[in-house]
Amino acid sequence: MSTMDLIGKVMQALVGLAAFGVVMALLLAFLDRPEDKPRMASWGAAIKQGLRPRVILIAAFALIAVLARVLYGAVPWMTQELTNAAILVGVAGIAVVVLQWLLDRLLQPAAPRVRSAVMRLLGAALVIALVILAQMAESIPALDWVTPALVLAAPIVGWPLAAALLATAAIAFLPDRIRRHVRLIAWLVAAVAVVAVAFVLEQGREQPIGVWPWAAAAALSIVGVLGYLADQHDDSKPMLVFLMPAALLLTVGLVYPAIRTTVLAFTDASGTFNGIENFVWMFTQPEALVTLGNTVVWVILVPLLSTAIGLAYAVFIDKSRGERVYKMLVFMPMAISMVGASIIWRFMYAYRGPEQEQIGLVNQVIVWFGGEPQQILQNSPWNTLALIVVMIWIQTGFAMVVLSAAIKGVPTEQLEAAEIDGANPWQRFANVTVPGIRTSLVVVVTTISIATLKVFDIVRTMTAGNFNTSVVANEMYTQAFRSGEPGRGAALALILFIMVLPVVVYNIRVLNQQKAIR
Amino acid sequence: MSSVAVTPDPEITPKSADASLGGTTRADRVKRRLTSPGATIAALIIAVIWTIPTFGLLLSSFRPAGQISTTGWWTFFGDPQLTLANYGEVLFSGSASSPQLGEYFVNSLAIAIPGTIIPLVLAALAAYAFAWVKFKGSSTLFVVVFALQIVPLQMALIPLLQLFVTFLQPFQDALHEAVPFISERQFLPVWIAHAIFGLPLAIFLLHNFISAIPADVIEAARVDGAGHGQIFFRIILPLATPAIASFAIFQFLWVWNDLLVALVFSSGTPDTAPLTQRLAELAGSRGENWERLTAGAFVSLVVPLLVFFGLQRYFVRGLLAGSAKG
Repeated sequence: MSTMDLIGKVMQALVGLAAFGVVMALLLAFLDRPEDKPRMASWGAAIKQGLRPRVILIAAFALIAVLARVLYGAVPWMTQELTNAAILVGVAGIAVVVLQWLLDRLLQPAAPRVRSAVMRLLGAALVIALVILAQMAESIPALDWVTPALVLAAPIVGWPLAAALLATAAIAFLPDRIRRHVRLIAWLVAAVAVVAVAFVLEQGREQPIGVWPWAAAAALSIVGVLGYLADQHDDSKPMLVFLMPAALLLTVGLVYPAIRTTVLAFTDASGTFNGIENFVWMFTQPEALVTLGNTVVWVILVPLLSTAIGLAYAVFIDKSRGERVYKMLVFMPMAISMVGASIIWRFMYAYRGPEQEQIGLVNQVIVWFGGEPQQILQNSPWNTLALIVVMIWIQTGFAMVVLSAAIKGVPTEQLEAAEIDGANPWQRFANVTVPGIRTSLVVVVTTISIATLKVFDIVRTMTAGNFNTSVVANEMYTQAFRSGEPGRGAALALILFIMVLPVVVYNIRVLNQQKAIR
Repeated sequence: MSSVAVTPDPEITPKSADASLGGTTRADRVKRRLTSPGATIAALIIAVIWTIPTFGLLLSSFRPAGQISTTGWWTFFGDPQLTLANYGEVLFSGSASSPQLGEYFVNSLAIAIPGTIIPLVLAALAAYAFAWVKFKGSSTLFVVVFALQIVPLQMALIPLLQLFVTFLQPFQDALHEAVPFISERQFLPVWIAHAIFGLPLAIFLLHNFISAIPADVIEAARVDGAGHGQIFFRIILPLATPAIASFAIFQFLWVWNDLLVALVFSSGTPDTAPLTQRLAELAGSRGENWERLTAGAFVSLVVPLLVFFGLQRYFVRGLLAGSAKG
């Protein structure tokens, strides 16, 4: 791995998180508008309050300038123009922050609204002055460092910025009733303007500008709408803004795709409607039937065996010495990935010819007992059982932990009463303990069933669905992303959903009843 | 859902303590009857069977390559030889045939950390709103969010990928153009996918906690002039730390261990593919190359096992609450 790659990856993570942080900070800023904040009582407090963010800002701008200077010459993509621009941004940024701070102090007696308006007017004047200065840069010897690119950029950035500042200054004096509506309109107009300007600019260039104007427009609209929602006088409603990102992601990422998949299930590879053909394929073609059959075997065996073993183990180790260690050993597979578990078990199942020494423990045990070593993962139908063992190995720990906690909840008095009545240990277990942990048993069985229905990683890693071991989730992936049959994949996903649905609904109902009892 | 198995513990402890105080430990007597030698032996056998596969893999990963493929790991005890060569080979070797897992390890981290933080923050904000804003249809909306947990993520894969290709890819390309050393194959789609799939559970879990915070506390803060931001960071977040920790650990392990989302949304190249994807690929293409597979598998297990042994309490809670996820 080259260092460049590593830097790129770390950069991605940092930039991604920083961008996310900025969006979140904006959200919070909307909810706590500075105008709404109570006036500071004393100068000292005001300075203290305003100082910290400004120091951070100044440091940030200084960092930009310094970083640009350091990188210049060190890395190839840091051109002279880019360096100049960065230094310019840094210096100008620091100047603006300091100026704004001084002004803020001077205007302290005025109302917040007036203060921000004056500030914006001054800012707009400054920007306009800079734009004009940039256009005259050629004729002023002191400004010879201004490159043509900067001259071109100045009006493109400057005029909209000045317009925005003037517009917001004006909006601040509108009556309360219509202000937030006008604000929203202003944001949307700005969004449209960005795209329009980009189109105009694009006419005169060979190179297309690409998607950036659209990104800017989308960002402006989102900010506008969020601000509109937040800008209400009722105190709690603005918090609805907090719901927006989650609601948006869930709608775009789960609700819409689920609906789309349902529709897709009735189309063929080219996307045209073909009725229930995909489902006919699923229930008639031998390979698809094997898949469904395997899934049924999985969903019967795994919950049953995991729960049974987990329960037995929980009972055996209950209140014994070293219970914690016992639990940890069996629960550990739950923490590791199914891919990791699959490799662990492939190693257990590893096959060497009968004349060779075995390296897989399972085959070695077979040999020790005088049998022939087997190609465990290739001999159908036993290979499906071999895969099921892996899932049981993983899920037993889960069953054990839940049931162990439930067993400890069974009242000792009941067990004693049963003992006095002459019940033997097995009867006590079957007639007192098991009824006492019934709800937990249901939860464990249903939860493991759901996990089993969706099992993908194990099959993918151990056999990739070959040798008649495929299950619905794996076949869905194969059809949709490997064979180019998204319709069939969607149909399988739909079947999966239908199979999971009753289990989950039942699970939720049990949980609700349980809650009601508490 | 977390109430299933977590709550009994605190209820039990005082009760059994009472029992052991009063009389000659009646509970002990009952207990002794229940644990027979046979049960202990059976438990021991199960524990050994459950531990042996992992132990065998761990031991094998430290054996010399030639020995792994010719003799069983149990012969180690007759002829003990250990080496770190396998780990050096899978992690750092630059040769084309080596798995080069170091790179994928970085990818896994670069996917899992934002893949945990993003849904956590979004869900915390949403849960705050759900818990403290009274608006029409709030409870209905909450039930809808909770119900989204039942949508298997398989249902979302195909359309979500289409959406990403249409709307996200142009921005990724543009970003690559603007900053050349960020590859055009980025983590962004995987982050978003994990954030989406993690949200329903996260909102549910955090809402349960945040709505239990006394209203007085928040009212008092508002009277003192605290804004939403201050309330959120100074009051909500500290008080909800246990729930946040549980979810964070669960989500981190879920993302770290995930294969399906990675297969669909990452490029499958060393640029973005996580460890699990590379391992699954190795198991498929070089299934008999055990000196690499054993060490590679263990590299991917180290982080989850550390989390498991270090933060077991939070892990169990997150797991129990999240077992219906996905």
